[in-house]
Amino acid sequence: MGTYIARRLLLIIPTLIGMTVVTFAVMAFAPGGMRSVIVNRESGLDPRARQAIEKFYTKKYGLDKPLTVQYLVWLNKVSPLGVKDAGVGWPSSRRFGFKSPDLGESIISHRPVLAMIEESLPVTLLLNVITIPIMIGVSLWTGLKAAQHRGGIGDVVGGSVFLGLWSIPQIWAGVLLVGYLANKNFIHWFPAAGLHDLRDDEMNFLPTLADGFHRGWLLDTGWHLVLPVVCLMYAGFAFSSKLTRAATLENMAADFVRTARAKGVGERQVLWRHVLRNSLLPLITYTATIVPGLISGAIIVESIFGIPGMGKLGVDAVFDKDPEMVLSTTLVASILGLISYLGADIAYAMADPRVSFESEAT
Amino acid sequence: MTAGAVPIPARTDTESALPASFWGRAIHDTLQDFGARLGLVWIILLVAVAVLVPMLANTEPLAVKIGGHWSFPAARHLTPTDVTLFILAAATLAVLPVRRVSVARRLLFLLVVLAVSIPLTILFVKPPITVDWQQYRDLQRAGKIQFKVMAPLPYSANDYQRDDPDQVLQPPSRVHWLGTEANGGDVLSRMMYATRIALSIGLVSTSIAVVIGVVVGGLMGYFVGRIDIFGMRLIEIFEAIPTLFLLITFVAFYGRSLIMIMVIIGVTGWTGEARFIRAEFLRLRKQDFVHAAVAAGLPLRSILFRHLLPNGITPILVMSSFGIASAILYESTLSFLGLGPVDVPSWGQMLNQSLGVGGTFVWWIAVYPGLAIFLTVFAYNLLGEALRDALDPKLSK
Amino acid sequence: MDNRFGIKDFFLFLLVGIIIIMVALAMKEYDRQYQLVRDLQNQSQDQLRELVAIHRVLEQGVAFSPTTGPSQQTAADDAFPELRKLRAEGKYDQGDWLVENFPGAVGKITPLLAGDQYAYIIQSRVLESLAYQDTQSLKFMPLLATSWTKTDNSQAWRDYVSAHSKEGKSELDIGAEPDCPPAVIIDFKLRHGVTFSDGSPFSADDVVFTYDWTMNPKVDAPRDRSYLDKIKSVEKVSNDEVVFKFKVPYYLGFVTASGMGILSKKFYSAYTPEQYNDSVGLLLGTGPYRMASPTDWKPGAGKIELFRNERYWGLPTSFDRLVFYQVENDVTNLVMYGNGELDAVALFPEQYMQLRTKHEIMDRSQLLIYQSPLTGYSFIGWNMQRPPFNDRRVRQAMTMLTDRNGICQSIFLGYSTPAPGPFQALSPQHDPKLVDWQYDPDKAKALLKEVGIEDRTGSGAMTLADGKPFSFKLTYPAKSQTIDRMMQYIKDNYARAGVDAELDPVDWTVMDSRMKSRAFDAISLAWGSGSMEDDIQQMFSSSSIRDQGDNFVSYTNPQFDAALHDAEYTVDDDKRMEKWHLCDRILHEDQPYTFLENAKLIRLFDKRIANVKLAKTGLNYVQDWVMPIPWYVPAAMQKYK
Repeated sequence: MGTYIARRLLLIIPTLIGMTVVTFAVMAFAPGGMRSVIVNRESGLDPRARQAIEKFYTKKYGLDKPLTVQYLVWLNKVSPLGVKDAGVGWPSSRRFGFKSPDLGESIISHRPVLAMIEESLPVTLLLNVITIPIMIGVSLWTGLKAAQHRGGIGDVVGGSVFLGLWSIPQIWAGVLLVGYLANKNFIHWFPAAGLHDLRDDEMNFLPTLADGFHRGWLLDTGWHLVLPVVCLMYAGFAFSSKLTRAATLENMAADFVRTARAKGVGERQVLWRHVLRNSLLPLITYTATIVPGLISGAIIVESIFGIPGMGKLGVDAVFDKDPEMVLSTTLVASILGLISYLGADIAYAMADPRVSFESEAT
Repeated sequence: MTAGAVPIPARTDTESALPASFWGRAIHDTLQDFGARLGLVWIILLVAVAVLVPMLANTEPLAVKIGGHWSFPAARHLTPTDVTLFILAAATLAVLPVRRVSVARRLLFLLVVLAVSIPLTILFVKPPITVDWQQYRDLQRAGKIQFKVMAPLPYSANDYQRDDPDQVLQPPSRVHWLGTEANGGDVLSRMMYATRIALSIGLVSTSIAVVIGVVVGGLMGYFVGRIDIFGMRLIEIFEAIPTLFLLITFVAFYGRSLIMIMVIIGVTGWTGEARFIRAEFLRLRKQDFVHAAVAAGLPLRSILFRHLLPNGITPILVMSSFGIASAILYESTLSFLGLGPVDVPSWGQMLNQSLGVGGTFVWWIAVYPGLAIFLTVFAYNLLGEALRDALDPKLSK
Repeated sequence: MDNRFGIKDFFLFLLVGIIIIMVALAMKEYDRQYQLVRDLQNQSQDQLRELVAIHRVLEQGVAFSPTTGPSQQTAADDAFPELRKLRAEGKYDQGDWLVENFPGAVGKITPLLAGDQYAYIIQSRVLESLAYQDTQSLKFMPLLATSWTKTDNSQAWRDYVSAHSKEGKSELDIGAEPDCPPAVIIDFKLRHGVTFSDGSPFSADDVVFTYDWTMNPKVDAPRDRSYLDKIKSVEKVSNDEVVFKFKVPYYLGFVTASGMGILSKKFYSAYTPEQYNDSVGLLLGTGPYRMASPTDWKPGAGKIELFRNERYWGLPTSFDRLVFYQVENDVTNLVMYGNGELDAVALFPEQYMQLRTKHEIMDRSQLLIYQSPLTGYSFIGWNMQRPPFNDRRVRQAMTMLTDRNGICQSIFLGYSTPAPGPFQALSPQHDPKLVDWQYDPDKAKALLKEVGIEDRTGSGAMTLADGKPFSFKLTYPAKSQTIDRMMQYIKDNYARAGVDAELDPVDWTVMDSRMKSRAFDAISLAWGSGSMEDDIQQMFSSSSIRDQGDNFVSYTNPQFDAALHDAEYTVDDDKRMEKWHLCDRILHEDQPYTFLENAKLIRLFDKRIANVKLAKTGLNYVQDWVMPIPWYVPAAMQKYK
């Protein structure tokens, strides 16, 4: 298995390079090319200064160099293995070796991309980390129940309800949630925007009861998270529930379950001890495959609810056409995605010894 | 949902039944499903609206008598698209009841009709380039109209009612059944015109995705070796980048024309089909009967593409149904984010207006277009589900 | 049974995971509180040091006399005559905070580097310039300079230039030659006793340093360099006197020289240009406010706070603290104002219409609706390289086909007025005798008929002389719903007359490349304005056509060029205004643009804030200018301590 993991990890590299090439190509061949970012940045200024600024920044960020050079320069910056400035005592001014990856700088805000990702990634991860367990839990429960009472009214209605939920466009759900549940003209149970209250740095961490009920930072964040999380997770139910149901059905008809029943193990035990673990597997795999989707889906949720996460960072970068930002955020998002695929495969393999790595088609 | 399904053998690749009866059976079983029937009804309704909308919602009168002189403004303002759709719809209705011709032949006939009518309509149908929306209302107010026949909804999508600025952002009323939006346009009328965008994006994008996916997957499955490895990397690349993100990147950089968006959605969504076709081909290559056929002298190419591919198409159909649903969702999301096609009404774009400037919530623009998107996506999903259950109840991917 | 990873273990892990997360969150929280405690500690240490220093001075004995100290030497040197008067009347109280919002995050506040206008606003509170412009009289008031003398050397300069002019050399290049006499010389006498907020003294060295630092090509300041490019040199005469010499007799010379935000040589020369460029929060000045720390500010925090500079040399300012939130979302912004968490808010017309009926909010607020000459105008630019727009009658006709009043009413709900030209109606540069073009479709059609454009087929659509339909593409930036609606409205205007305008919203980069390559029929855009006296050379001078200059409509009129050059190089203010009027008249006839509208600003202020008034600049406080804050809160109504 070690070789399998090593091989997969190595294969990730050409995929990542391929992806960044695709993203870079999209930016470079668009009208305006790599210099679009400067134009965007200076859009609203009076005409006097624009030319000087364009000239200066084009030179500073090397945006007039040939495209392959620009891409390779970025690739070199980002990779942990590359050309770097030699230290004291080396004969040449550059040498090849291990170095710390530098994700570059945003031309719009002049801040290092890493700093901006550090600020926003935890927010998106927080959203996902809360969404995923809830989604797994609920779909597991409904899938099992549906399989148990297969063909019954709960199964059929539940299936349709979930399919319906899956069909609700996320934009619609978000708009309705904000419009009806966060609207001071209507029901104002939840805040309309943002992740924290405005005066969150003056709040205590835990809720206090003295002197009236104060939410405290923790509960306040949770309260702000309710609507976004609901918006993110309702769509995942349908598929994972169906998946669990199908897997459970398959397992319940399997031989080992029949053996267990013959041995006299109670139905409940059968379900929880034997069937559940096996049904979990496709669910885990499916969950891992939707992690990139959740980062994507977070784009809409973050946009509607005004949450400063990776999705918003990425979209802003794209709208600003900020080259290093776009490349680096795509890179980070994709690395996360690919690692979660790998994680899912490994988890699957660990949980199910029947899976052999030689059956992989590549 | 599986209650009414007739048991079908699990493996479809060993089916050597005539395509006609297999299709017929699949369709029959699908239609047994209640959800599928509902979905189909809704989709047919949408198609009807998309085709007939110039007759259903139009500011121009269908027929009007001024000064003793009859004229037909609505007909005069028909665009080539309108006329092509009419012709196509008529051809479909004509061809539907014909029993003994195969589905493929009928589809081919329709394609021919389409190919012929497009250039003909572009050549011969020439509506005036500028439209004065207020013209007939002004005449009405001046009392010059003796008799007129209007469409059931007397407002076009681009009629912003400049002659009545109070009509902006009005809630549903007897005059405007679903209200008006921020520019003054009638919501119901715009929603009806938007069905064209939704359906066409759904169909065209998914077709592009299917074609690319089948071709790439087929090539990978056929040639294996290095092409397969390269292809797998390509698939992984496209799957690894979050789709919405890729879409936004493409559209933000390359512009918001309708064609561009259709192509982009198609180009980002082909991986599922490719994987499937590739897996099918790889599996089939190992089958004994294929080995036998090759040994007998039939080229592998012919086996794969001419005999097995048509059978493998049916699961592709299932994927396409879901694909159309997701294409419509993507377009709505893009429109919502302000990246949708320009100057044509779209459901997502209307949703975008609902969280208005400064946070005013306009419920009729939020509920109705959103409902339209939801019902359409739901319809396709139901169809896809039913198709899948009809084809193979054990297929639980 | 196999002791594999069971369900129990899963839940156990989950529980442990949750506990770890909670602990991590708690640690982060404590970390933040620790930061606050440390800031407080630093502050009290600073104060202790101050007290000790004062003690020492007192022990040594200081003679108090009314003339010692930096504030006021003579009445003519007084930087704050109006506010001092208020103070003498018992008004202009000190205390309370002003809480506002920036609808965007601030990335850097280091001077010269930052791109966005919010950083500019912060810098204008902390830094000061040699002089500032009074918002009502538009006179320049002494600030860091007490007086100045302008010497008009343009005659000698012109002689030199005509003697030495060569092909291809611009007046700017000749003026930069060391032998060329400076066209204008401005001599500033600096104020005594001014210190930066860290206590170090201000002198002529700092002025020279600011100029040199800005012009240093290694410093990331291309925009400011371009503003200062007409200055030939800045020389120190003595510790309290500096001389600015100019390459050309540019009329904005004094504004540029007196408007530089003065940086502390001692503080900033400690950094190399590279370190400076990478920094985010290096801000130290002589101004009435200061940052909590001149070096440690980091972007990303919820709010930015400016504290009163206790060492300020001038009249103590009103507010103790200025607070700026960084909330991007429109809705939240409005909600915050409604909750009393913000003291000021700017409204869109739609928002105002909604808010008007909400008495809980309106009763607490003062409403100001005004037009500011600093806002600029929107326009449609006709590409004169493409017929029929090369004929001025066609352009005039298009202006008459545009219902600008209708736009102001429908799209801006009345909170906008038609723009008469490149200068606003109330601007001194605008010729008050000009009568603006009216919406007159009949007259427009008659004018078009003269050129050969009319409805030949009776179908309602206009055709050109060669039979082709009169149809063009109207390109505009796809930025906002308001602009979309305005373009739809204009399209419908033209359609009524039979002219087809095909709407073409594009994104900025495409827009920019079209403008540069002149590949468009008509473009709709808006120009902003930075100062009270606008320079229209970039947009309309024929010298701005080549090299992808900003005269993208390719407007060429030698008469106009001469009038413009004349205006720019006239140093006498009144004579110059006459020349601007001539330029205005020429543009009015030629209509290179159809000038669309000047938007009004709608602002709400908390009622407790006093002295919020209208002035020639719009409001009597222009946030991105260096100027004392004229607003205050009477002691009885103060909210924040």
